[in-house]
Amino acid sequence: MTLEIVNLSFNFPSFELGPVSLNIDDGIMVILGPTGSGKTTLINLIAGILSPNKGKIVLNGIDITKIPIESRKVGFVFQDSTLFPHLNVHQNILFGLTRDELHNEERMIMVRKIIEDLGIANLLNRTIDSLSGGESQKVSLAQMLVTRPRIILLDEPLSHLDPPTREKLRLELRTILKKQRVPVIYVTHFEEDVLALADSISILNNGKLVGTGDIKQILNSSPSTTSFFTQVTSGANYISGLVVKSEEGLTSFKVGSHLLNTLGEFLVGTKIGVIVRREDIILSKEKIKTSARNTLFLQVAEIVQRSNLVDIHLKIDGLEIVSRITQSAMKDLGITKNDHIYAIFKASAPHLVREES
Amino acid sequence: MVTFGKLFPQEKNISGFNLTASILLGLLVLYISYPLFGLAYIGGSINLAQSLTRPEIINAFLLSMATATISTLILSIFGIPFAYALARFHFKWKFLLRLVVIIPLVLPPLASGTMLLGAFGPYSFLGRTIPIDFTQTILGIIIAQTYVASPFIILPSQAAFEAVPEKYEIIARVLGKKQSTMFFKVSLPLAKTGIIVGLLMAWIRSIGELGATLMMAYNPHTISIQIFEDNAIGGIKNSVAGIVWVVILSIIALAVFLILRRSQYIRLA
Repeated sequence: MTLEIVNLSFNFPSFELGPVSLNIDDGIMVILGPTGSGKTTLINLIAGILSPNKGKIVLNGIDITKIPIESRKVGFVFQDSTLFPHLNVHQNILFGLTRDELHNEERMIMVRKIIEDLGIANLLNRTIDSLSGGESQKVSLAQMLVTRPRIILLDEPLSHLDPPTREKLRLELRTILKKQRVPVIYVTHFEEDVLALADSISILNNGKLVGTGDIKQILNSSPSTTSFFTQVTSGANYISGLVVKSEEGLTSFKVGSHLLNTLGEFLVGTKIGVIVRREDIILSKEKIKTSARNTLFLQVAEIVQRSNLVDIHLKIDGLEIVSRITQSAMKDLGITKNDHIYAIFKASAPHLVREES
Repeated sequence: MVTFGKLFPQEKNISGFNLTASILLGLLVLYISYPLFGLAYIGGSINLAQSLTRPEIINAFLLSMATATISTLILSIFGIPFAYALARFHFKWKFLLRLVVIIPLVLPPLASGTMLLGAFGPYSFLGRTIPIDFTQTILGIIIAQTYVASPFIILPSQAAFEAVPEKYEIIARVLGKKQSTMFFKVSLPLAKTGIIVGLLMAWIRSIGELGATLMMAYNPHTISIQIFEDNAIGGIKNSVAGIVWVVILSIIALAVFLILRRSQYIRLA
């Protein structure tokens, strides 16, 4: 399935979205942007909740711009729980099915599979007000998935959850969404969501599309896009690689020709994505023996001043990372562009955001 | 000792605020309930059982029950969708409609009745054009009751629909439901408490309606008109029976409300 957004625009009295043009195939596009950038407006337009002033929305070659909400077969999960309080969990999940679908054995097998995959079979007779935040969002997902939508829209579905629940659900979400094989648009301002879920990213700022592509394309695009991306996120380093060894709670994964270490146990052959905060990367002009399990010898590609701090952009052989240090540390070390330097971080520094077998 | 529920612990000393609130509350309760004692006092001095079973009283009581029920049904069919439109639709002259809704509320019932007589009476345009007797008939009673009771359904229903978060209606449509299905499966169930309160209030108001009914249909007698006439002819003692029947009806309505609430069919915030 392909979703095309063609010059879509919408005017509020004090805000204008667009024109926005995007193409999304069967993958997850994460739309990133600060509050008020138009992310929610954009997906409300796609869902049909709002009508655009100009432009069109084309799904598999068919213009759906003027088709009413209920006929678009869009799946939508909101930030706040939208489960119907007067129905129990099971009734909520089945709400979107027609009478014929409720009596279709094949369809009901699919429904039961979705309930099992999401681990909510034990919640079916519960009332909505008795659910936790994570349970509520899982039920919302089930409610949406059983209708077999042609497009899936998610508006910051994890933002109201506590960090451990958010982390757990985030890891499951990519697997669940990829199974649907339909275009998915995920709106967020959490960089972990971007890194965990995105096949591609689009960045919205003040109603305008600032950049679109995968993470590497975004970071290599115009300085304004890159700097905007790092302003919106905290600018952590995203590193992905293939697990080559995992024992005694320590996992080694290959990134290009480099071997990095992180805590945790994974199957050999798993592709993992981790983020390492810029502040967690220590620099040294000399090779020193430390307790840190990750030592890389890299070249300084760029030095970017940020008030009292400095971002040192390092790269070698397909690996690019950024270390953030103080001005005085930079002076003490005498770091200049093109220097070769050791970048060190502990095995506990990488934070897992993606795992694909 | 007056306490404020779970918010404040029971105070050992009576505060000035608590004392004042208690006195005001007590005075109001006394004011509202005292006439019932007056009724009981007068009722004790007559043969109440015989009065209660007078044929004209029974007929008036049954007629009022029937017409109030029909009026409430008519108002629910027209009034609830109208309330939904006021709550959800946005259009230029909506404020005018809101004004129109409260007209029967602000007008004295006699004034409403006089206007209705002008609109439906035998010398009105409708009275002369359509071969139906609108006045001095059961139809006249229903016209009067629906007119004065309409705000009692529309206003609480409108508030109830406005209190239903729109997100539930949006998600129902996103999940593939047409607007009509969304209304019956989501909006109405979620607004039902306010709507039921409105229906009960409209029903009670219809039962107790006098002024407009006097003008539109003095005959056949509703219970209110019967009370009015009994008082005019024989004084308070003569009207006690009718009043007792109305009090019984009010208790029935309250009991229905409490049963629904107890069964969790309706929930108050």
